[in-house]
Amino acid sequence: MDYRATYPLALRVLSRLIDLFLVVGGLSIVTLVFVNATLRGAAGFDLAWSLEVTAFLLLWTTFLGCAAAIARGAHMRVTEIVELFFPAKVQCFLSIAINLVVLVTMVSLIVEGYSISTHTWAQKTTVLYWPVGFLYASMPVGIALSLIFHVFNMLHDWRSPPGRDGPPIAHHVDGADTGAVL
Amino acid sequence: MILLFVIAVFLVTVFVGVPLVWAILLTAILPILVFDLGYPLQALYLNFIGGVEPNHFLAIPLFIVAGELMSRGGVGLRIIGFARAAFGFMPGGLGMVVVGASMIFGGISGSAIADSAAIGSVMIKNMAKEGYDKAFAAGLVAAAGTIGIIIPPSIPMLIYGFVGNVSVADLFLAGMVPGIIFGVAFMLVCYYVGKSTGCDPGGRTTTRAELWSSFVGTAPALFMPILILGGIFSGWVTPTEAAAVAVVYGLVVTIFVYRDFRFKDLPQLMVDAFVTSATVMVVIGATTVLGWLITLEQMPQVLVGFVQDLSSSPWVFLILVNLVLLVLGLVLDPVPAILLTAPLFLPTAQAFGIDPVHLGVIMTCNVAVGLFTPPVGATLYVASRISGVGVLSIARRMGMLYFAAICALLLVTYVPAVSMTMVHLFR
Repeated sequence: MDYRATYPLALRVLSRLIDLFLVVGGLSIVTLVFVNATLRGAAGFDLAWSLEVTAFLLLWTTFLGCAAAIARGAHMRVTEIVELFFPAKVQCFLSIAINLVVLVTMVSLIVEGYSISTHTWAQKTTVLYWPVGFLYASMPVGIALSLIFHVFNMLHDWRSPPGRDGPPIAHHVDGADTGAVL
Repeated sequence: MILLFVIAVFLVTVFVGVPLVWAILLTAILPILVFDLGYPLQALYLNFIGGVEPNHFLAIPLFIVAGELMSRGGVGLRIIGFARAAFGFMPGGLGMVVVGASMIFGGISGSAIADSAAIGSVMIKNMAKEGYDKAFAAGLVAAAGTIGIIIPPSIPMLIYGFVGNVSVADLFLAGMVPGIIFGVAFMLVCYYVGKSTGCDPGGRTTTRAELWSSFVGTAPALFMPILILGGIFSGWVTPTEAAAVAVVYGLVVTIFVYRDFRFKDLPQLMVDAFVTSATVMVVIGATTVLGWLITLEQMPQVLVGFVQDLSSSPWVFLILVNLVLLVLGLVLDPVPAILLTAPLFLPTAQAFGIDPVHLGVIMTCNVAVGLFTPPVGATLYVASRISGVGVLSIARRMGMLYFAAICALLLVTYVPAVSMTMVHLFR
């Protein structure tokens, strides 16, 4: 489910800021790759720095997009088997257990990712001399934002656990709720 | 032992509903802890970031943006109009329109879900009005939509090419004939259903003028795959640059030619496309971690040994590929199914002398079939949502479509020339 409507104002603002970054980052990627291809085809040269900028943008849009996907409950997962074969109480227990396991994995990614980023901060990229650690910081930052959304999603699921009043609804397929009835 | 543990952890975590990215990361982390393999977590996570880092992966979000762009607005309607003029006169013609339009739309969007949604939203209603069983119409939309990932450009093939270090241009070339074979197989089913049930005996007339005018209306959209494939095959652009060119071309066509997309809708489209892309990219990153572990622990060699114990024939390995992917396809979407199995299957296939391009096409066709098999079939869900018919009711009416798809899959798998002739001709 899309959790954004259940978030407090500060979190909704954070979600909008991430969306804004995805728009700006995405449009920049399209523009840079297109301009680079055109320049190489038409003028016989390309912009070496654009490769580094797009590499940064790809990593940052991916990990911030990961946080945006958590806010929307849009990460790919298979929920149909549990919904079809397990009673509501077991589903509830599984949901809590999965949320906790994901939380621990996220914390581990943030801690190790921070360490990777700080250890590589002194290295510079070839053309722009930007810190390599800034490239790698995308992971701990993106996962930290994901963690914030995940904790709120978890609290929401705790307060109103997913019930089974109607027929099972298939969702989270291909990153989107399909709303199909099984 | 480790290989079995890895498979068990993956299946359990996925089946209980752990989101794929975390399920795959856990599948990589747990064997290290349980078997005390001694790899530091930092090395794992460096691979997680490194899996997302390669610059050519920019093609993935860009192709998703291009597909989203062409899926919104009236491109689907124009393609249906053209397919109706081209196929509508035959018995089972309306069904053939669905298949033909899906094949054309697949070349433009590269996405099975976009394909099913665009064609199904118009055609299921029309087919039901004509007398077709609504569940069959929905099933046809679900099955035909999957041709979108076989006919180039195809996002799963692109990802297979990147992670397996296989030429994307060769994969795109190799996907053409299999895509047409799947299309023809589904059309034959439509012909039979239209004639045998009497709901669509054919006989509509299409004048040349109608065919021409519908073609002219569709031509700007039809030019998109030509632009992408022509650019890549001629060597003018890389697949990544072709994707950016496709986005810019799509913007020009939908905003200035068709006038059914507005600039103010662009930010929302970018957010949607990049969120979808992020969900795919983090799975790629996690699979890189698992692939790294699989390579270090020499699991492909274990698989080669296991298959060679059964038989030294490559056909036995291909049967295994078909079976594993058909079973995985029941519960997994194409991209994760390919990402998870490619690190195991690719080295094994090479040991058996199977061309990696041929393997890529086999895997894509396999996961395409998985897209319309319950319980987890993305295009099936889309067709269910549009038609209002339950997923299992639709699946029950799809017997002939499953049979046609399996026949086409066997042809693609066991007759390499079906995929490889185009590659040998144009390589």
